[in-house]
Amino acid sequence: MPRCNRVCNRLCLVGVIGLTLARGGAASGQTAPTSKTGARLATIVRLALGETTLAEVAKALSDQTGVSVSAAPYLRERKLVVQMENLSADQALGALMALNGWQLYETQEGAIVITRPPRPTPLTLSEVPAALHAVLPRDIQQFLGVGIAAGMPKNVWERRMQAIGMSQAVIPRRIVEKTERLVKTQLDELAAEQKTADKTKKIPYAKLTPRQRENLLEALVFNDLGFFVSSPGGPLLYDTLIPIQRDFSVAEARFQGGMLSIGSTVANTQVKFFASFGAHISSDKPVKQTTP
Amino acid sequence: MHLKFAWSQACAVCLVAGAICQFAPVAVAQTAPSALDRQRLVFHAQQQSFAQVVAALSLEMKRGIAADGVPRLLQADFNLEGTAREVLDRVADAFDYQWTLSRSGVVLLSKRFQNPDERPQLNLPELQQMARDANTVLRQASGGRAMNQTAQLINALFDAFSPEQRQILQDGKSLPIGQFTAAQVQLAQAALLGATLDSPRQLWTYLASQLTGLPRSSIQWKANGQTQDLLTGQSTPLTFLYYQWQARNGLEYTTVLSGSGAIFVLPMLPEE
Repeated sequence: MPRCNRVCNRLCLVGVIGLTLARGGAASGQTAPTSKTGARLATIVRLALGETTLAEVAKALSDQTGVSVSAAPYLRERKLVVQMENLSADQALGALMALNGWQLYETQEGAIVITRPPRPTPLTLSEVPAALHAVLPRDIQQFLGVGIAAGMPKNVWERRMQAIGMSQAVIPRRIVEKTERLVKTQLDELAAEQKTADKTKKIPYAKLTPRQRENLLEALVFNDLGFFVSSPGGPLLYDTLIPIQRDFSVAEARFQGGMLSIGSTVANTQVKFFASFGAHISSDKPVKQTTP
Repeated sequence: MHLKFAWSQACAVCLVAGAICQFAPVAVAQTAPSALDRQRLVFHAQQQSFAQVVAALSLEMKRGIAADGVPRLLQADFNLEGTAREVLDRVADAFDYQWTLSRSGVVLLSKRFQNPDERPQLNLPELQQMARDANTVLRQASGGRAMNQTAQLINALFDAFSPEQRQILQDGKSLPIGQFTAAQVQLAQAALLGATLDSPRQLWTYLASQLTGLPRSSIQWKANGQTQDLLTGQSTPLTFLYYQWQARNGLEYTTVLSGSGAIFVLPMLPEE
């Protein structure tokens, strides 16, 4: 079991106390924490840290309040720029929680840990988009355009999509273009930095420079995120599920050209179509599958 | 086994599905508390880093500032005079950030990604956690079913139709879900889950495995085909970067990172 999950489970077992400042930050005038921990977090702190990490912020808060503040292992290296003075520790923590949607848990008296919110358990397809958003870091959500309106069309294709009422296709397309560009940039940099005479030689990760490791990590991640956006995962991410994915009672089956499709008729002011998924019916050979 | 993602098909699917719903309106992050409109600032900074600008601005505004990450832009110059809000807008804009206020009045700066070169933070442990969590979410939504069963489920559904139901379908008519038996509904729903979730599950499985295997991975450039300039006739070899890693099942896997799509070679990867 991953260490962070063990931590989270243990936290649940000891009776997690979500401090009220976890969501949006504790405002002056809110109900004061009643525990000794809360009293210590009322300490005025100075966090003139500049470019730092969450682990360093946690250490500074621990040093100044006497409360053991720590970050979940996977969040420790999160880069931040922090310049906060003349604030109580709970106000400072509240601001950091609001910045990235993190939460604070008191594991025992005098010890708090910063984590991502608990992972939701989706019970239906329509609950998947919110659950996926919850597991993506906030900056990755922003990068992927989650919740961002398409805005003005930028080219002929986008104008056409807008004209036929399909402007929601624009954001995933823009994201795919962006990720492709970033992957290409990373690969070009990797190739340019390769100093060995034999360019086709296999290079272990351990032999890569720090910059090359960053290049590789970015290429991997943006490559897969781009695919996710353009695959059937895209509608899950952007919450653009077709009607049968939200409500299966509207489904109907059709059979045409050897293919059984399950879907529903969708109409808006401009277009009418059968949004469906299905497969070719065959009993003795592999079948070709389509997806919604 | 070779699997190549159907790029154009996937895009078309997105277009169709994307047409259905509307995005929520853009959230206006730049809130406008009156205190920021009343406070007037003169803010000058020459060739200052983001962290230096944040420190100086925090001092001028007498407010805490917390920012996520660091921008691509290393330095910037500012000669600003106006309300605190106007200054904040200009500074955030220069570094491709957006801002809002915490309940206690701390300025919160987060990246907005209007600059195409800007990218999110990529910390390996956090990414590994993200990939594992996304996989878990999708597996839970699948009801714990194994992947790649959709076509078989559709075939089983067809086999489960009565002769009368098949006749309706073969006559080119629709068969509403209300005319399905309970067993048929179950098969159709299971197929829907597979059709919707299998592909993203596979992708997140790959990303999780690739990230787990990163420290012991290797890369290799290989020529694979060539392109030809239609005007000059000149040929250029196409070179791809192959990423090779060992999954938890002990098998070696290879992905081509081409910038325009990954081609997964070798057996399908089991979920971790």
